[in-house]
Amino acid sequence: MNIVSKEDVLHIAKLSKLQLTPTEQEAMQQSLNEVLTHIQALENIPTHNTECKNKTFGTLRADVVENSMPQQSILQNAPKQEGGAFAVPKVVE
Amino acid sequence: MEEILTKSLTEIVEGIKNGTYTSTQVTQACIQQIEKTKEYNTLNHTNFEDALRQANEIDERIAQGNTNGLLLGAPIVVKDNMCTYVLPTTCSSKILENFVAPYEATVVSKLRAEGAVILGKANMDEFAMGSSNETSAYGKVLNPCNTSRVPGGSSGGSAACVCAHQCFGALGTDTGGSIRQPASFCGVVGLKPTYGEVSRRGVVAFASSLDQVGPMAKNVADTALLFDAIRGYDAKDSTSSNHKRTPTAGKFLKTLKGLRIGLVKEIFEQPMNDDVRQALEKAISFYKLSGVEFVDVSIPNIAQAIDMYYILSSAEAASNLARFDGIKYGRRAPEAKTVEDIYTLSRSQGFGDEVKRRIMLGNYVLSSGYFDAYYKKATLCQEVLKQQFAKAFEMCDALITPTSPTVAFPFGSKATPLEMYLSDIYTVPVNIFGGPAISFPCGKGENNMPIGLQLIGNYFEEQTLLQLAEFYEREAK
Amino acid sequence: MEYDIVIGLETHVELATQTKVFCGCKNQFGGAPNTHCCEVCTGMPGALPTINEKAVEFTVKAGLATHCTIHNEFYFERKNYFYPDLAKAYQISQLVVPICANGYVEIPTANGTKKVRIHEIHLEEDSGKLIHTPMGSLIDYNRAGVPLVETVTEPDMHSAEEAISYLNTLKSIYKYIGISECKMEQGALRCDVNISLKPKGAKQLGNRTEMKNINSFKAIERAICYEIERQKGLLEQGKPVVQETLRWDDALGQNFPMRSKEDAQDYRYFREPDLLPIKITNKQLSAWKESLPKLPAEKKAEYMQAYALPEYDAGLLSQSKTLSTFFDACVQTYNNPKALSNFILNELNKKRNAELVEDEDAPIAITPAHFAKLVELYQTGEIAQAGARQLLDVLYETDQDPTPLVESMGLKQQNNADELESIVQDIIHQNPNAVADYQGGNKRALAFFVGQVMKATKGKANAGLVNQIITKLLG
Repeated sequence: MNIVSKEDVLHIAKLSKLQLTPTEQEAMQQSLNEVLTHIQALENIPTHNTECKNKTFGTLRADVVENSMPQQSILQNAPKQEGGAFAVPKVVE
Repeated sequence: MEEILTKSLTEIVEGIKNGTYTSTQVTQACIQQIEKTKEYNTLNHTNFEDALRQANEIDERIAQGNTNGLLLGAPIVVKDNMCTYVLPTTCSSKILENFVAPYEATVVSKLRAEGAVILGKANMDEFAMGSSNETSAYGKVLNPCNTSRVPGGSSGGSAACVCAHQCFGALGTDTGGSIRQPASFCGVVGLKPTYGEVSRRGVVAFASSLDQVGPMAKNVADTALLFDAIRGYDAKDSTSSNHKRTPTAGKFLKTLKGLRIGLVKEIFEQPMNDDVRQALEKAISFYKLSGVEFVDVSIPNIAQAIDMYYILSSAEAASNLARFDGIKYGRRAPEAKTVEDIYTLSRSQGFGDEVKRRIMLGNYVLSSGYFDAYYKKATLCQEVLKQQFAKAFEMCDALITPTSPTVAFPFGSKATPLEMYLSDIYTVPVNIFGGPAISFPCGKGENNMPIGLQLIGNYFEEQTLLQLAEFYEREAK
Repeated sequence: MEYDIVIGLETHVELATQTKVFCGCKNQFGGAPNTHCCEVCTGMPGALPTINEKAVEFTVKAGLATHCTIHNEFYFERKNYFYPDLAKAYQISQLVVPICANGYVEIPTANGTKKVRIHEIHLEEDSGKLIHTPMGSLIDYNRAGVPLVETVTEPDMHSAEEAISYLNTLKSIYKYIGISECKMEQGALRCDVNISLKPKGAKQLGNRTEMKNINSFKAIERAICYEIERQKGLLEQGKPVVQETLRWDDALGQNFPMRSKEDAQDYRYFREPDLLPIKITNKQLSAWKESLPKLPAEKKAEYMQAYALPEYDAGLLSQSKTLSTFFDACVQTYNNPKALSNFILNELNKKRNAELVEDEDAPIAITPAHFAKLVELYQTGEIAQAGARQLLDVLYETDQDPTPLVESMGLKQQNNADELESIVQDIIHQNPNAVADYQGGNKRALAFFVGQVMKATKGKANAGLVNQIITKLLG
């Protein structure tokens, strides 16, 4: 049974910013269907009365300035940089 | 093999502290072993010059009379998803080739504060997604016990390193079994701590609500020592737990009387290879004879943990891996002319197939129209499972299972991704529930390959697990 | 065909905390690119967020000041999308449980006060900045991670005037409680406008458009007017209004569909796993509530009731926190609110003109006690108006107690009736034509005499007394 269609694969690939060849698309569709079929087992677990009880809350950080990383370190792995900023092709808004 | 390499972590630290060895000596021995056994392909990055520099610094410190540090002078390997200065951090992925982190993971800082020598970055499944270390962009890792078989994954390099005596301990990460399963396949000890016990800061995230860093070592005592070195509250990790921790090293038991181990009925209903079943039964007998009380418990939905896992971990991974976009670091496709191209080409070229699969699955279960049926449903099922575990732990101190249904399998033997996923059936429930679990060797199976035994504990009960494991290690024949 | 105009506003306000919302980097406008950054706000592998306490406090205060319900247990969510200024490819924001919900503000309109309901207020992080050059685009993450409070109204506004009134009110409240400077020129206050039209009286709302990139209140007015006309035009031709996001171009005076928002975005919201949910105790909530100052609307009412100040004056005094704090302190020293109000609004604010253009809340460099003394000296006749103005000039340059200056600058008002009468007599004798003019019916000639007396006394004569004397002598 096909849970995931060819169109679904293309849509999700777009959302994921992945480009798949037709072969890859087919393989992806197959493996996704296989896994999603197995996952249907969860439908048998009754959860309508289940509530995620939260027992742990987080702590907040004091509003005190910490040392920033030097600009050089921020850029040290940049594929392209210019004047202290990350450089990319023109972005059209 | 050099005598130094046969020592345990505990012994080597002792020896360095009392002057029997120097850190330089020990580090040198490890370096030689790495060169000798490089076919196992356990390490993605090394800088032996820097390692010896670290060792030298420690020796100088010792000469001044300072012998502080739980791991003084011992060479330790860390998985290549933990940020380090000097050595690159690539997660075995092309998309992070040449990435050198401008900051260090908290656990790595802790290792260095305890005097460890950071020896190298261990090979792994790409972005920690895998159970065989076959998805690495740096090539597969060979199991030192039998080189035609996988070392397990995703911390395959870490496990193999320890097994091959290339180091005295290693750090791995465990999201669905990635410390425990390779530990069991390579015949070493691996501990997945309780979620929140060890800081995740600086560890490249796979599934943020499931990932934990843990120790892997030659024996339980070493594992406890390494665990003590890395654990602790980290204010920079909002999910790390702020509670009192007492050291676990050396706190071993003379008797197991009074302890109770639970047998999960649903585990025994799962398919398990004969050799594994036999080893498990033998271990149960041993514990019974040692005075442990066994109780039957039920965790009705333990077998569905794997389904919950694939939804939750893939969803979080899809989001966590979106930052690898070719803009700020990592690989940028050279032919990209637009920003859209940079995203799509860099990611398509940079990620391997398994990673792409998980990202696609993750985005699917989060996408509009499917969120309730999959992601929301999985979180509710997780709550149900947690409650079932809680009930089981009312009756016992630990649960016993095999770590894996089989011993290490041959390369390429898993026909489909799903088949690979299903081999995590005993380890995954632990990550979903969030508690600690340890894997330690309990005999040999098919083709004389090691079999791992898993003990699962309640939240923050690592001490109990280490004690039960150490007792077995010491007393079982 | 007549149409109802339906407007809803979403404002993003940058909070004036010391550090960013999810890391300890400095929260400061400007600076060389990527110099207020760390692994967290640049989305490096392995980085983890930590929540800024002050950002939470300020968000709660925004809610308290706008009559919202505070959800004292809340959590954050990830909003996933790709854009170069978004370092992690997701924004940590809130969706299901915003910190504040269901509030309102009261705004002044031509037809009286009107309630604009607030749907929710939540906390999220700002993105970095894109700088466009002819060669390409540059990304600076200094702004990435700055705390933003997003305030979403119900579609309760029906004209550009109401929208601007709402924005001014909100701005004034947020500045009052000290959570933001709201400097629109620095991008600290941004507004997205949602507009739809429907046939007058119809129940069903029309398709709405969302407009972004509007950078000043004047531009917002222009943008709203343009969009209303544009939608009217379409509807009148029987064409549909497409639900879309538009980018306002103020230079061209029109809007365009936004390229990047063409495909409907699927943000795949889910709970942020790197942050635990937060609980605010009742004790903490009470403490924050206690620490809130009285708000502009309350202050205005107080000034009108307690001091009988006219509405307009009360409005001006209460709108700026700096001014109302200053005024209150002055009243403590010299209990003559009417006199103080007049002198502040007529004289002091004139001097502050230049600074006020830059910053409506520009600090006042004169100590309230000193200023109050000045007004007292003027009010009691110690000094004349000219003298008061002179003193103000001096105090504005160098803050000091004005009392000794009256003597040293020779500003003491001439109040001696006999002396004044003798001066008046002199002037009357010297100007027989003017006397004839005045007595012949031209009452405006009085001003001439007063002027002459002022000249003779170098501005120190008590004007009121002089008036009386002249009228007595000349009739």
